[in-house]
Amino acid sequence: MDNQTTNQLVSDISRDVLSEVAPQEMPLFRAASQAYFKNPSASLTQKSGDDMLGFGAGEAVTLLTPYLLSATAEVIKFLAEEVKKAVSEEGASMIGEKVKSLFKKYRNPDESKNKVQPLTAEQLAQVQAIAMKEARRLRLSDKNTKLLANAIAGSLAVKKG
Amino acid sequence: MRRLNPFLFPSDTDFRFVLLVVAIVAASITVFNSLQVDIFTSSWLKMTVDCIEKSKLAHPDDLTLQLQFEKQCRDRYELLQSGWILLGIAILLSVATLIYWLTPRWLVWRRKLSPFTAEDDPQIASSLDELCREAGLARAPIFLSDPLNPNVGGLAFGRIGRRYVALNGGLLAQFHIDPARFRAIARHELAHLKNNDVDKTYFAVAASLAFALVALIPLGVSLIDDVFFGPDLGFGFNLVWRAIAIAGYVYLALAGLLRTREVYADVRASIWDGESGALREILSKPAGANWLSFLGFHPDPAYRLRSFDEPQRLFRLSYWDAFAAGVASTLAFPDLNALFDLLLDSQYESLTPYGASILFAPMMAGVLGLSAWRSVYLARIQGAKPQGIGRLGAALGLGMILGLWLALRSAVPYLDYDSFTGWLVPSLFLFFWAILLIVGLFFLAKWVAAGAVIWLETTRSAKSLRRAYAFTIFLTAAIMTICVGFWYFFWFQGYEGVYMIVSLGGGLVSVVNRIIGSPYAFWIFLSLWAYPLSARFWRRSEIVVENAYLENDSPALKLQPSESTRIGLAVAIGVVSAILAVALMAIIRLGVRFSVAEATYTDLIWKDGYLKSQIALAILFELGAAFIASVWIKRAGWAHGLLAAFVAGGLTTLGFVSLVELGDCFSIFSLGGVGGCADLFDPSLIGLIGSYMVNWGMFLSIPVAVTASKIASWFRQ
Repeated sequence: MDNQTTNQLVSDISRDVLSEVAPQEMPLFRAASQAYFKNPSASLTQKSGDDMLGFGAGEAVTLLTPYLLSATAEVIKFLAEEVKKAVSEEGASMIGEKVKSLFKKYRNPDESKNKVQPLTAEQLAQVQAIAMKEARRLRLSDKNTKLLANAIAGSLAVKKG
Repeated sequence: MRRLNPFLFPSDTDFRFVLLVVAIVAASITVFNSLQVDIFTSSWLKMTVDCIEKSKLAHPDDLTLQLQFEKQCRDRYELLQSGWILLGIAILLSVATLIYWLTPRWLVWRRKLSPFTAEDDPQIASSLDELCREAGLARAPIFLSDPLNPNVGGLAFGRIGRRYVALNGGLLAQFHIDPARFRAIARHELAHLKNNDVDKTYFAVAASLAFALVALIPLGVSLIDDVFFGPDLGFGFNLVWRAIAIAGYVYLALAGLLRTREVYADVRASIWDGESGALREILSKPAGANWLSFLGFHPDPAYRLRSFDEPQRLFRLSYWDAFAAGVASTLAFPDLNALFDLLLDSQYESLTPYGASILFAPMMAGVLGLSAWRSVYLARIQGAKPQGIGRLGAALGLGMILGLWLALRSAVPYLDYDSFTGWLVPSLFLFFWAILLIVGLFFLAKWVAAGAVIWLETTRSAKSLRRAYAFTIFLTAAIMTICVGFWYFFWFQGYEGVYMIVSLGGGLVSVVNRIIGSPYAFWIFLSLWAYPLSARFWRRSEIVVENAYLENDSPALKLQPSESTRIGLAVAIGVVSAILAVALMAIIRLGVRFSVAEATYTDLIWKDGYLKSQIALAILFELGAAFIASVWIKRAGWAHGLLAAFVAGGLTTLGFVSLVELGDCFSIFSLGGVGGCADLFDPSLIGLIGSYMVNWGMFLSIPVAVTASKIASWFRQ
């Protein structure tokens, strides 16, 4: 998957997840994702404290958007690898589409029409673990880490039974 | 209870901005002059020796021509020295302007800000449009998103013609959870634009940075050289602690400005957000007291809330502000004096203190004038007496003394005294002179306030209020230019210089006489009563101030004026007093003419004594007039007393001169004068006699009028 496809995928998935877990952050999502894709590491060092010339009486809140973007990016990376393993004979250009179709929102309700199998429970657990690891690395609180990981995992299609 | 509108007067943000810029310019002058001395001293000495040699060669036999030649030779070099200081200031201001201009671009780049549009959230975009309309901004700012900033806040910034408001991610996230909170903070940021404090703030920050870069760093290098490699360690340390104090002072002035603008933005935003809206709720969140808040860029939360609830607090200027203004206003005096000394020809040397005074007096007058007006206005509405204005003047004076002491040039030891007594007398002189300044400013501030009380009654609108206080500031600036320049001239001369001036001027009495009798003193004495009493000509039957309250739906403030001034009565007392004085003079003159031998009254020594007695008589009648008017007239009795004394002095002068001139026409009035009927009313004679009778009479009437008026008001109470 090329960068543009990956970024688009991360952005689409993150927006969907964000609308579920922190809809109040939607107004800042476009700008935040742009900043994230420009420089992922810099955008993750959230500024704390107030500006010298700023309002001065507002407290800092935790914004989930940058954590979500980063965790989603890691999850997409993992899923892309998983898809690659399963459909190694197919072109890379199709991988993006296939990864996307792993998410419930983009999955055809008619399971036979989907070109890729949903995740297994084991894979889902791995996804959850990756998201949690990334969120913890970025020092997100335990509560929000769980929230984020569950939301990402919850957005994925899982094999029944 | 309605909250008073502090925006009727220039805010403390304006005051602190001016203070900071003045402080930076003043501190830079002192720094660049110090650097200039450091760099040029050895070449200046070399050049002086060279000029002396050349002058000897050019005019070997004529000392006067030699001195002229030497001076011309040195002038070119001195111009270079002064050019260095001016160039330093020009570079500093250019760097400050450049930083100011580039800051918005830098902020957008550094914080990765991107435009916030309706695509991001149409509801927020429409709410922001609505808030801009509510704020009445001539042009809406460009809203930017700072998405990764978790702080629930924003930032108003920009430059002339381009304003931005950055909305932090933390704030944007609030919109759908707590829209009132979002709007309150957005209103606060828009209030900065409405208050026009963005340019002031960013220029102040830019100027402070430029000061550090252009002035402090080179000074630091020069001081390292002075302390570690200079011949005099004590002198080096003397410079170092002053430099640290100046840098600290500029920092405190900047921090003061940044804190103040936040308080005023809160108050402005409260007009739109409501007295008990979300903004108040945000500000009322408990926060621990911070005794170091004076060092911070944000105001103490408790103070912020108090100012929000009681904006009338913002009407009073603190003593610290007045003190700081005093420091800023004289910090550059010694160096400016040196600068003008370099720029001007030596024949104008005595005028150099006035140069510094002209440059800084408007700020001092602004401090006194505005603080007096704000206090008077507040007191009038609250039905109280204005308090503490005299002390503000004294604080300004104290600051001025400290400013003179802090100047880097003051590190240069003035004289090396060889004994304690040798040191004590000059020091006592300076102490006395300093006290005179502090006391003088105490009374000047009181006078300004007393005038403002009467001028407030000319107010019909916010515009006329502005006109009235602008007039006060203008007049005070003129008086302060003269008085502070005069005061500094003698301070700069020190005991030794003053002693020489007094010796060469024919003694203390003669020098004081020249000062009191001067035209400058005449205009100052005249303005003492004319300023408060002239308000009568614009007096209204009702004081009306629109926008007196913060709340939008408030009616105009209407107040009934106090008792009217009684100029006619004061003039009448002066006229009667003059008639009595002139009548008595005429009787004495006739008595002398017919009872004293001609040889006696034509004797010059006798004539001198006679003239002095007539002047003393005139002054006594003026004092009487001042006393009667001050006691009789209830409102501003002291001003009426001075008017009465002035009228009495002027008319008595004319009467006395008439008697002298009549003596030239009619022998019965003649005491052996020369001249004829043709030159009746000789203007030079009127000027000469008037300088004694009017000026001295007015001068001596001041304590009489003030004391009598005060005692009379105690008795009335």
